[in-house]
Amino acid sequence: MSDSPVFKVSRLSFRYERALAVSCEALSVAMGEALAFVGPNGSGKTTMLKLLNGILGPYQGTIAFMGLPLAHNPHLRRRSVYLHQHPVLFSGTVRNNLEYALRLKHVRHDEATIRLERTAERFGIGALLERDASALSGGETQRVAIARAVAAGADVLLLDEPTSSLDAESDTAMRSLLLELRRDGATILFSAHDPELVHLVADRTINFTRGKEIHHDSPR
Amino acid sequence: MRTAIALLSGGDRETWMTILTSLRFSFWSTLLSVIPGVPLGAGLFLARFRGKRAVVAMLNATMAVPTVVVGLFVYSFISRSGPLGGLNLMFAPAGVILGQTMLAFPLVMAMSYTGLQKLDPRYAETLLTLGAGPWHRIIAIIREGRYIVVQAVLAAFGRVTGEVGVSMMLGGNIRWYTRTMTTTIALDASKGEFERAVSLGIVLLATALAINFMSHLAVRNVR
Repeated sequence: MSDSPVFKVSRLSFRYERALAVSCEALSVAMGEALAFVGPNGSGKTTMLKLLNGILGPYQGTIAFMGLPLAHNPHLRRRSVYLHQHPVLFSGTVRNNLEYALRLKHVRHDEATIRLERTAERFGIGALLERDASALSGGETQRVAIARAVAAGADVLLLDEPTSSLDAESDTAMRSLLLELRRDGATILFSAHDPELVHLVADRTINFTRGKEIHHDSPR
Repeated sequence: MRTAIALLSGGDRETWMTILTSLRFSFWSTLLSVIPGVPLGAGLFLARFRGKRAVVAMLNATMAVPTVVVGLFVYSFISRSGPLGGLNLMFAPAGVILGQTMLAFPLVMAMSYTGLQKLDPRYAETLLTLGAGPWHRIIAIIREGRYIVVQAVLAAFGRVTGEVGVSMMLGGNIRWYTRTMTTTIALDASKGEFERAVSLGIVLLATALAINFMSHLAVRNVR
């Protein structure tokens, strides 16, 4: 399993109603790779990220995660998380959100406490833990949402325009965080319009066109 | 009108007994319809399957079934010759509560389903991506949409409190036992005795207004 690519996509096509939303002949993503999905609005970047995370379907073709098809894949929900452009946090405090994610993964209480504290320190959200999640800024919400995913064990992150709605300060912090996650070995697939962010974080870019077809990989 | 108010303010035993019986039946039938209705409505909201539209259409159609038809349906089960005849539910409080539960259940389920559609779709997707199983997703989505669910519960309570067909058909309008506000009003009005009918009408109206007000408060809290 360790030699399997994280994602292997073959002859994928997905339609909304009857309109073609995504078409991809082949795509392979290696462990620890950072991939940027680039292209104009409506070209299928978000749809592709959701397809890879099993949020959308049914589709034609195959998507394999860690060597196994997405359906009933035991690794998918344990190791990969999709984050919206504007992620949502659940009612309650930031701590409640992290605890909830850990509970979903059946992490024992004592281990969950340790993991939560470590995550808070790593992501610099210690001061936010007791804050009401609905009162956070866009940047803080992004940071907490990623922390929540990583705390729950995700090392394959599918991020939809992670910096698009952030102010300058939060944007800089998010770039540092993405680089740090890369250094720590996370596999990151993200959509972006910002060439600077793509150049900074991505190993490869995948070009989406309005015709929905994924044309080619561009080596960095 | 003065006599009607005097019946309420003077603590007339039969009037208040009727009110309490009505509210007791409504409470239990609402509770019994909410326990399966809300999770099933949330489950339907989260589920993706072929034929979902047909299921939703059928569910919506059941909301419009007249109360006497629901009463007749339950009657066929709990009457002496019905499959549940041995349980002696006919002309007993349990029979009325069962009938009202059957009346409220589709309403609770349909309103929960419809109401939760107003919720941001990112909640359901986030729960899925975080690995929440079906039951966890249902609980979490109910929690996020709790004000929407409160509206469904209040609507169900209003529906069963104001219905007359089920109570009359399954309860038999037995004094001190299964007589509710609506069956009393129907009986007294048919006899030309309006004092108690008006006093109970006032209570029903006040109940409807209170439910409406609480429902309004719940809507204000929907994000």
